[in-house]
Amino acid sequence: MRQLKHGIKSIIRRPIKTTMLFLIFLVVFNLVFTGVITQNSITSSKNYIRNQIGGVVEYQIDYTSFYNDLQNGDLPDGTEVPPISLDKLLEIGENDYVKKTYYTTNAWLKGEIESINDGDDGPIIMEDFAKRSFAPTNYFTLTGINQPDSVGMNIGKETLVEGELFSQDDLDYGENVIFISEDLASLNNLLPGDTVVFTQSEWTQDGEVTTEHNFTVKGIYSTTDSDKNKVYAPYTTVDNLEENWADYFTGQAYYLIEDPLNIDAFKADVQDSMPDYHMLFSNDAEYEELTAPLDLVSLISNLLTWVVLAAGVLIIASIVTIFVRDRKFEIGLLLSSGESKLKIVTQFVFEIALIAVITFGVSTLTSSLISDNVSTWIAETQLVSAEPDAPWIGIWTNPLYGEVNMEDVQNQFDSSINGSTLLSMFGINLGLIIMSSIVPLTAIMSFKPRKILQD
Amino acid sequence: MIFEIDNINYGYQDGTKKRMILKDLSYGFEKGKFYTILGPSGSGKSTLLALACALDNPESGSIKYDGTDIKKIGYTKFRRDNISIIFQKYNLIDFLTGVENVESDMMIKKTKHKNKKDLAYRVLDSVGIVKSKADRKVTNLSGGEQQRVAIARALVKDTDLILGDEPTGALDTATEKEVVNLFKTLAREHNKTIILVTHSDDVANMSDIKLKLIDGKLVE
Repeated sequence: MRQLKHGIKSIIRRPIKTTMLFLIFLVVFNLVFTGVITQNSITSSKNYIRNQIGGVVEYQIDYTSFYNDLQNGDLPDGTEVPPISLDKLLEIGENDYVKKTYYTTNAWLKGEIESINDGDDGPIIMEDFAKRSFAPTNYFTLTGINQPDSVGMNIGKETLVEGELFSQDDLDYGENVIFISEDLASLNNLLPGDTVVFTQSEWTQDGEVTTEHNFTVKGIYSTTDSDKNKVYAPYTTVDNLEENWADYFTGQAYYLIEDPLNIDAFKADVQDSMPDYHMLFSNDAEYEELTAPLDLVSLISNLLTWVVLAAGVLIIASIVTIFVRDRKFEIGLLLSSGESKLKIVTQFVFEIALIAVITFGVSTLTSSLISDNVSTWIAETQLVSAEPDAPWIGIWTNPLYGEVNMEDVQNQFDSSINGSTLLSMFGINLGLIIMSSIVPLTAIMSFKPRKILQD
Repeated sequence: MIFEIDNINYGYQDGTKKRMILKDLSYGFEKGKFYTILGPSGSGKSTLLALACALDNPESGSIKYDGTDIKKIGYTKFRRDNISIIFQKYNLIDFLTGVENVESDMMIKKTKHKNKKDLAYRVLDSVGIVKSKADRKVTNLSGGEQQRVAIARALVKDTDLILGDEPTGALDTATEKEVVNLFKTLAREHNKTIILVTHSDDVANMSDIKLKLIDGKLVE
């Protein structure tokens, strides 16, 4: 292949021109590389934050907007927010992004322990952690769940340590089974299979009427949550205890998103189908607060990358134009010998591509050093600015949203180059070279050999 | 006739006027003959050669090689397979050695010689370029040596038609004579058709047929 032989010889025997192209490519590639690696690091940190906050989206009623609109007269007096419908929340749960749909309801009951195992059948008051200063002790919130496990068990905040999950029959038939925290189990010396009596009080004309409900401990879970008194039971069971005081859904609904990075896509997908003043809440405020400095760096780095790309196209195009003009005579000679224009273009493309590939190899090493420094600077300056006084940022609005450790976010700010980064960089740089060279090289196609040789 | 110029016209736009350089020019070149074309500067010798080399298009008329219009053959294919060109200036690729320049045309023509390099050395040797010089970059050769390399490049293509635009212009008298004799040998012994444009009466006198380009027409 004449083109390849001549291409290689031209590169070797024209060292000044080759070095010039190499250096220009090196500068442009390094800048683009650094920009892309910075972008990747920012994306990976943002993804980490999003993953840490978790993939839980809550179905809520936007009372703030509703009352604002009511006060502003945008809504007629007496307008009420349509309640959340169980059908609607289940319909939304059919969305492809949703892994599981949870809906819960709560009942507040007094707990007693009835020990069957040791024959002591006298009621013992079940102790709680007495965290509630506003309420009598020994009262527990029974949270009814529609799935065999709790939301917390899916996001790593709760783990079943003993016993087993609810069965489908437990859920369908509203069996009196519960999960309790290991702290509560330990405090009250409870094991799976033990019975707890919950007493429900109701005030009637005849005074207080109490009903006792025996529940079997089915599972014991560990939790990172501060509320150790939470007792889980099947949704149907708790719903029956409440005797449907309202004819609409009064609980809470959560969607567990398969991939937390798809939360925005999920919200965009379903928001239009939701009734007015109904919304999906995913703790975006915290996410945005944490990622704001990164977004700024991302914007600047993105802008710089585009400027470098644009300048790179112009500079490389100018250099290639000079390169082609400089070899016009050679082109004319080859044309007069009967070489096709396409083969001449191929030779030039090969030469430029070969220098670019060599430069690309070198730039993977040099840009790694540069981006290491840039990443360290961003991690040390920009991420610290997102960090509040406490080293841990807790998302306190709901225990179902995760905690973000800024040290881990800094660790996620990784400037290492992996295979896919290399591949995408190769694609970008190749595109850059093609875009820059296409015009000067296609100009060869319009060259007239006689005119070149006369000049 | 191996090569025929049939009624061609070619002109330049000179301000508002069109200046015709070649007017209804026709001529047939026979195989195995050595032709020279003489003419004053600006008479259109180089233009005629450019048209014959398919480096430019005539405004009208046709040029035929072995009875076929070169347009039909395809200008690029015609230049690659049927002709060898030697230019006035030493048209060589500057980053290649002498032997690589000679090899280059064989590669373009895709000649089937097993050892192209050996053949290139042999042809270079026949025009007075020894191996040690053939291996030098052409920019390290003298003007005369470069022109010999250009001639070797044309010879190695082994085409029936060799066209030259003042190919001996840069050579000293002794070398000029050697090269012209080489052309004569190629015409007589190898049945090649040589067409050279020249200013030199000495070169013209050594050719088989001396043509003059006068008023846009070729006359013997």
